[in-house]
Amino acid sequence: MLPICYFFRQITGRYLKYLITSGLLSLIGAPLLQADIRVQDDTGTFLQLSSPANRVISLAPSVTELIFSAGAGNKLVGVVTFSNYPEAATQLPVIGSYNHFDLEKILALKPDLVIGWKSGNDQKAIHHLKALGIPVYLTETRFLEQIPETVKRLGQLMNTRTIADQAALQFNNRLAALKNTYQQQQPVRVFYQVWNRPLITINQQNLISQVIGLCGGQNVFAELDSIAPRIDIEAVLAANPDAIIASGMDKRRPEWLDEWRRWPSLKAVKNNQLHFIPPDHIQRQTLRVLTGAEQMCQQLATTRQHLSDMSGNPISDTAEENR
Amino acid sequence: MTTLLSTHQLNIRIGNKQICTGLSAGIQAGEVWGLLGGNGAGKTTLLHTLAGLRKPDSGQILYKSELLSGINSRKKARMCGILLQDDESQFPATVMETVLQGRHPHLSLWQWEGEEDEQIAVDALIKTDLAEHKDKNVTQLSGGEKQRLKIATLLVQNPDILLADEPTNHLDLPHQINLLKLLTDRVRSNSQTLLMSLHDLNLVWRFCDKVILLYPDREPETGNTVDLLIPDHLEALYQHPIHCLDTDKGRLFVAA
Amino acid sequence: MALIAARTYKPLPLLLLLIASVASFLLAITSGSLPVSLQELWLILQGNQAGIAYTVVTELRIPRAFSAWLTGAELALAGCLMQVLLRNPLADPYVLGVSGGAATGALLAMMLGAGSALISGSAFAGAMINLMLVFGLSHSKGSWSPTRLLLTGVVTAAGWGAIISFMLSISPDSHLKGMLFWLMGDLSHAGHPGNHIWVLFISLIVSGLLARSLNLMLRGDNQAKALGVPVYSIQITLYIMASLLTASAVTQAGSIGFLGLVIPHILRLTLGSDHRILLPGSVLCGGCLLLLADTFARTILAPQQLPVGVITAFIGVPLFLWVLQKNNRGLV
Repeated sequence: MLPICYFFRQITGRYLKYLITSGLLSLIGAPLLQADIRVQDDTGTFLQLSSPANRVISLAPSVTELIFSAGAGNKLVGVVTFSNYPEAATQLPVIGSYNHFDLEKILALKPDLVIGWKSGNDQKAIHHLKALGIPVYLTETRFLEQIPETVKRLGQLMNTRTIADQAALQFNNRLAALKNTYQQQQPVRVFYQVWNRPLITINQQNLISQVIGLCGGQNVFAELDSIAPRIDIEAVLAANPDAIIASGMDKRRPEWLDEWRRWPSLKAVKNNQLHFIPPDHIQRQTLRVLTGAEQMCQQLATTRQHLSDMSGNPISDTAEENR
Repeated sequence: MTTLLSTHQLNIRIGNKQICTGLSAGIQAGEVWGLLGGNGAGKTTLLHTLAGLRKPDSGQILYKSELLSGINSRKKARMCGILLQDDESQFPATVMETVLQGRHPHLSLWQWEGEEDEQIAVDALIKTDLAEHKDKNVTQLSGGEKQRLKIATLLVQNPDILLADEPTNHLDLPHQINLLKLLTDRVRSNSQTLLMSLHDLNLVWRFCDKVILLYPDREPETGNTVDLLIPDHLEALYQHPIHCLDTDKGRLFVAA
Repeated sequence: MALIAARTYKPLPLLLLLIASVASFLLAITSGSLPVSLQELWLILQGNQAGIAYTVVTELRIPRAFSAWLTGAELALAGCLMQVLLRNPLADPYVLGVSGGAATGALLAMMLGAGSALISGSAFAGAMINLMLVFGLSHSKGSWSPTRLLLTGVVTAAGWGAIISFMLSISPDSHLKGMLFWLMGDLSHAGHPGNHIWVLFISLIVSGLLARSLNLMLRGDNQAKALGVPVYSIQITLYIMASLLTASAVTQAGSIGFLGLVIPHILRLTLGSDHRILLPGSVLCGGCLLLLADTFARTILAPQQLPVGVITAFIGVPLFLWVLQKNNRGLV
């Protein structure tokens, strides 16, 4: 398979099944010792550790970030490339990239827990690790609410529950605050641009689409079948969104975002609603996604302001116009 | 009488093998010549050289009074045509399309084949017994039909100098006689010349005025068929005894 | 004589292909996410600049349709010429490594973070380097032959392939997306064809003048020479033309496969093997097919886009097999 970038991997594993219900398993499971740590990962697999993990390897930049959020950064002995947040993560030994990691190096680091990313990591390599007797916890985030949950579980695994639970609580509070402030406001039609060549957006299954909804926005391409559909410029012109939000590949606003100015008839261009959110704040499924969400909510608030300034009748300005 | 094809001190070698040393010959209009030699004697190479498909190592070839090396390719094809032994065609084409290709050197860059060209092509197909196959794909033809198609193409090209590399290949006996008759009659009546390599000495005896003998171990010899097709020469040529029987139907040749 | 009348020249199929090209062009500029009726189109073509439809048609659809047609035409013509040059029915425009050279150039530019104009320039430069490299190598000891050229080209292409894999494996994620996208071949950013039209135009004229000689060259070097074809100089001309056409197509749209191999064969089966018909036929048919494929690629699941190469194969494979089955000329 061709190496596909970080983002695409994040969005491919959407059909995960949660196979085993906890109820069923507790019937089968033998009585456990009090000292054992028993946690279910996002694939439904139960993980049992006799003592808290102390030497942990992370197989994705987002996982690294979540481990730090759970207060267990000091237990990390290896990370993958692009683990650039927080700063301390950049000092850790690198065992490869999320899709090509070095099994030998992992073994040499003698981990007692590996935390991977179901849809991003090479599943053969994961099986290999499991076969070698290394406990593997796999993450797979589909909903915003899963993020704090994962942090809490990581806290259990590495015995940093106080910090982890605290971080999860804070996240949930911020999330609730955003929901209360923005979710019920006047809808704003949003086109989220992942990349320009090819021109890629997201559908409603994507976490980013949930963030748009959280901010009272409507993803104009929510209904498309593919989770990261390739579209053409014409489709954007036809949808005529109120705002265009793009992330690009690094901390800089991508130059191609301003290519939309070629089309002055677009409402987003007319009202100067071409917004940028750094990809690390929105495309990574970590606690920082709320930073991106807060940015987006503010951006959409300005868009909403423009729309109501422009005409007293914002309804006629939306979808119907182009039909 | 004009000399249509002549060579002066022609030397040809393939790799380290000298296959033709100091060949000097002049073929007159209206003459039919045979080219004889054993396998590997260099008959094909000599014919290719005479047709300008490869360069001689030294010596000269003249078409009429012009040096071959100075004639452009289109004019060369109007003066001299060659019937090749091998057929490299892998792409489909109809018999008619193929035979019309003989008109190529007579047409200018933009020109399409006209009615006259088509008439010539149809005549050639009729003469070579191929008229009924004219819309067939060449890859579907039998070996003998392919051979006749090549002869037809040569007739359509209609050069003054005709070279033929084993023209009787794949042909049944009646076709061998008929087509050689066709070629030689045409050459004689149009004051053209024909030089062909043949393995069948009986056919050489019957159709060729003169012959070139490409000996394996000495310089080639040219002369009248009557003078050269004798046991001594033939044994030296083929390194094998050949019996010559004079009968009322002409001289017959039988390998011992 | 009845025998003569049976041989006919065929302007009719060419005319049909021309009409098909015009029809696909109309289809291309009327279909898309934004509905544009024929009536609106008429107004737009008359210069009615009101509305977004005008911009969409003139700035998106017409340049793209033009590029698609041109690219398809160039690939089909290049394929046809390459098959004559190599006297090999399996030859396609990419067999001698032109696309590999272009892709290496384009990817290198992308790795260095170049803009789209520089990427195109670099792709073209890569194709030209390949042209000279393969020519030089296959020529080094003077013994030039189609087989030697083919072997040199195929091995060089494999070399480019290795370089491309290497570049992909060392490139950061941020560049990979664009690189893979380029390799897949796509027309959505093809833009105005500009000078590329001249590459096609001049190649068509030159190869048209040589068409009768090309018919002969398929029968072997010696047979062609014997009938007065300056084989060597035509081979060099063909090589340069086919490479330029391929370079131009690849520079505009990346590596779109399949067309260059199959179009010449479909036409050989239906129109016969006369290159005077085959060459313009390939141009029209290749252009038409890629234009249709691109239109389908962007409209079937609109607004979602499919890779155009998938559609060319979806249209071309059954079409080719159907023609092969139906072929009653017994030509293959």
